[in-house]
Amino acid sequence: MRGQDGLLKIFPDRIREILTEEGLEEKNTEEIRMRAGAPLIYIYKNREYVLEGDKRAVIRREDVEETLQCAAGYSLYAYEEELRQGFLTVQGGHRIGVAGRVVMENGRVKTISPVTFLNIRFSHEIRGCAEHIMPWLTDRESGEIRNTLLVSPPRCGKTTLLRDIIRTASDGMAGARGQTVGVVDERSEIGACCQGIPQNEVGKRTDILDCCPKAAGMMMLVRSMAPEVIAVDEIGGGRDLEALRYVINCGCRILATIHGSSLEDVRRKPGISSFFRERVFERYVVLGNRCGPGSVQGIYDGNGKQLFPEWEGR
Amino acid sequence: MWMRVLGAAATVIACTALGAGAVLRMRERKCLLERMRRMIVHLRGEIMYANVTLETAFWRTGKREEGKLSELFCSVARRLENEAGENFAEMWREEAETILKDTSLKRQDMEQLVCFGKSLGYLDRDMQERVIRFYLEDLELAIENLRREEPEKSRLFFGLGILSGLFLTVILL
Repeated sequence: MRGQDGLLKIFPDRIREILTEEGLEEKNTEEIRMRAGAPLIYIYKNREYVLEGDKRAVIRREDVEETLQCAAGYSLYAYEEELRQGFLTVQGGHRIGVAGRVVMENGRVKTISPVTFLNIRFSHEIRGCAEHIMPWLTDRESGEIRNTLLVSPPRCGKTTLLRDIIRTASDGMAGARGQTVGVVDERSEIGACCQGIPQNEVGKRTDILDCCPKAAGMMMLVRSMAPEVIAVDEIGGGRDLEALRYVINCGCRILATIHGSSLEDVRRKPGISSFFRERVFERYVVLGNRCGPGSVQGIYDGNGKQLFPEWEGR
Repeated sequence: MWMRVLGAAATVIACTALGAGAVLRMRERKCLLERMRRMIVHLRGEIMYANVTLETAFWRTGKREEGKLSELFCSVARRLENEAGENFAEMWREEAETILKDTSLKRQDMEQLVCFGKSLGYLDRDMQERVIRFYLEDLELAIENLRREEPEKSRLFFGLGILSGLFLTVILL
């Protein structure tokens, strides 16, 4: 689906030429960094390349601005709110982190101008990465997804796994019945929506509230879209947890993620600990990067009993 | 004799037709400017209310109308979709000059149109609102002038056409 064209599409002519000469393929390109006055840097096949020798590869301020304009389809105004948060998600689901001079108004970030640093991270969804754990997350009789919390340290693939669980539950695969899934995608990381259209595969029965605060979004979805499952990324705040309770009381199933290195680590966090006591979640999936990002270290039931890998639990 | 009468009649008719052509061009220009105003109002709605990108806004607006202006909007949307890494203002100017070159729009109208493209998409939504408002004001002014001058100029062009025809006939005879 995505060749080199998709990657080049977000750059102005000058940068395109440099990247074309480098022969980058989108599927292997992880990140491109542009800093005004510094050489272009990219991470390809997990390795960093700095274009130091090439004078043309020294990034000018105009290059950064033109890239931002080009990536946003010359419509930066449409990304105003995202820009305030320091990133924008563009067509293809790619994420552009921005930095530069922050303009404040009434103690609030108004915008970033001029933008002089860009971090372009290319979206790579891993289809099928959740299929092997789905039997543990699904009720065998009804085929319904169980209330599940994914626990993971940063950069260990919890959003990638959550996205694939959503897709699997929505399409009805790997033992799960096809269920209507509502996703509150506060940072556009799950669906990578561009102008409301998901760029990642999230399943045919999935509705997404993009760029919406989690707590408000969960309430809105319950009232408007009658979802059977609600999925949210990185819960933590008091209001998120309140909204989670409301959603569960409405009879919806929950798929959520939280930052944490282990089950014990999460159990100690204020707020979420009561969910453990009340056994709100029926499954906990703990991720790590022992065998690479996204590797499942353990699946636990609501009582904390390890279900997977079974040999470790014995 | 008959040839002379026929020649005189042809001269008068041709000159009158020239006058009528000028009137038609003026009316066509007014129609184009009015249509453009309608499309720009729609574009403003797409940008300010729907908060969509220029590509979507141009596409949706272009699809609602017909004719050269619709062609311009859809063509710009297509170029934005294909994104050749060019500057938007340049893209807009090229398309406007190519598609609208055989229309009744005057140089002044084209200059305003090109100028509109130079500021569109730049900075935030407030900026878009202002850019669109300024262009709409220019359009209003041009339409208002045309409306005011139309009856007078129509008579003048027709009159001049007939009179110049008669004048030529007298001279040639």
